[in-house]
Amino acid sequence: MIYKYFSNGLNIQSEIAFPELIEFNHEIDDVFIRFGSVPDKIDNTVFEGPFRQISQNDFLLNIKGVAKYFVKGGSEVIIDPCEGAEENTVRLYILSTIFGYLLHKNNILALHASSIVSNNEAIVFAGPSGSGKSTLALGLYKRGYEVINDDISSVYFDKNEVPHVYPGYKHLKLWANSLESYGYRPINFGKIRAGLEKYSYPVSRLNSSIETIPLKAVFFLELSNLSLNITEITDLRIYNFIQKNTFRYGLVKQIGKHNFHFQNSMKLAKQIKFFSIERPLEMKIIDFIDIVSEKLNTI
Amino acid sequence: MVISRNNDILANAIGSETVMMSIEQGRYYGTNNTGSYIWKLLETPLSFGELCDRLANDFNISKDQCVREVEPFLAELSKENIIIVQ
Repeated sequence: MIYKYFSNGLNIQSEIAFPELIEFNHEIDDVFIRFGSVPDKIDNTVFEGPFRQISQNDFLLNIKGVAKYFVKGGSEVIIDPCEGAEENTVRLYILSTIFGYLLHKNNILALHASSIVSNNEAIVFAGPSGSGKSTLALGLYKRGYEVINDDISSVYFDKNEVPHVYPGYKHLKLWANSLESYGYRPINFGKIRAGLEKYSYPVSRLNSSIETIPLKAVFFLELSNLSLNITEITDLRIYNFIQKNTFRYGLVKQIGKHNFHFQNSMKLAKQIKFFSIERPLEMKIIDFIDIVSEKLNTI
Repeated sequence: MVISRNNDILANAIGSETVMMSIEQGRYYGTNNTGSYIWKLLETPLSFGELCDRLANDFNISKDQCVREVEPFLAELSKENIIIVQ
């Protein structure tokens, strides 16, 4: 069986199903994902770490007990699962590290962020793992906002260099306690992988369109011990925030894509609004959603 | 002594400030508006004297003050390999 998807600017053909991605019957693939055998080593490496090897054109990711992943020429992904590996766990590395690699390799600015649509414009919520991106997206979804991305939000510049967001993902990955804070029972949802209390919550859109959406603002989420604070950032800390919240920024360095990343970041920095949100740990999620959705109406 | 930009540095402005990125080291630096202005002037290589003349004139300060204040800044840029002093 062959599946065809679109996610974050990439047309994907795959031998493995990804119900989280947008089904899209494209003509020309950017990425082809298949099973096959993968070598233990690649030649002419420019970077070697404990789990990854990188050469000019290729990428090898070796996750013990899960799979070896080999990306050839920034487009062909070969998965070599370990015996007995759980399929969801095997898939998860494709949706994270391998996607990160493919996006950076293809010069696409990818933020560690979830995104929603407000008045026909995209709002991006970026932040480190555990900062509440998906939880916030779920709260806004329940108030009628469309969710277009979870975990990775990629930026597309149109022919006039105006930034847009690519839709990419139609599930939210949520910890059990996040689901419970909205009154859901986690048991009713599928686990994203065995052994982890993280669940997949499907978010539907009226049209599962792949059309890019003009980007209005990026919010950088941080947990804080103090009171709630939403501040617009207008100085060069913007660049600092973009870099810190780039999906798998370490890979940008390792594959030598500084230049594209920097130019794309600065293009973005000049055109849209940026805010930092410090959210107190003890604040009730419902109150937090109230404040954010109110803020969305005023920017 | 001629001061020029290191061409391996990527620079871009946000408002009146400039972010400079060293591709080689993967590090970035930020400067305020005066620093941005100096970076802009260095689009063409200048001697230290020429640079201070320009700054003294454009910011309406004495050349002495300019020399005093700009020298440590340039030394720092040079140490970080953002500019080349020959």
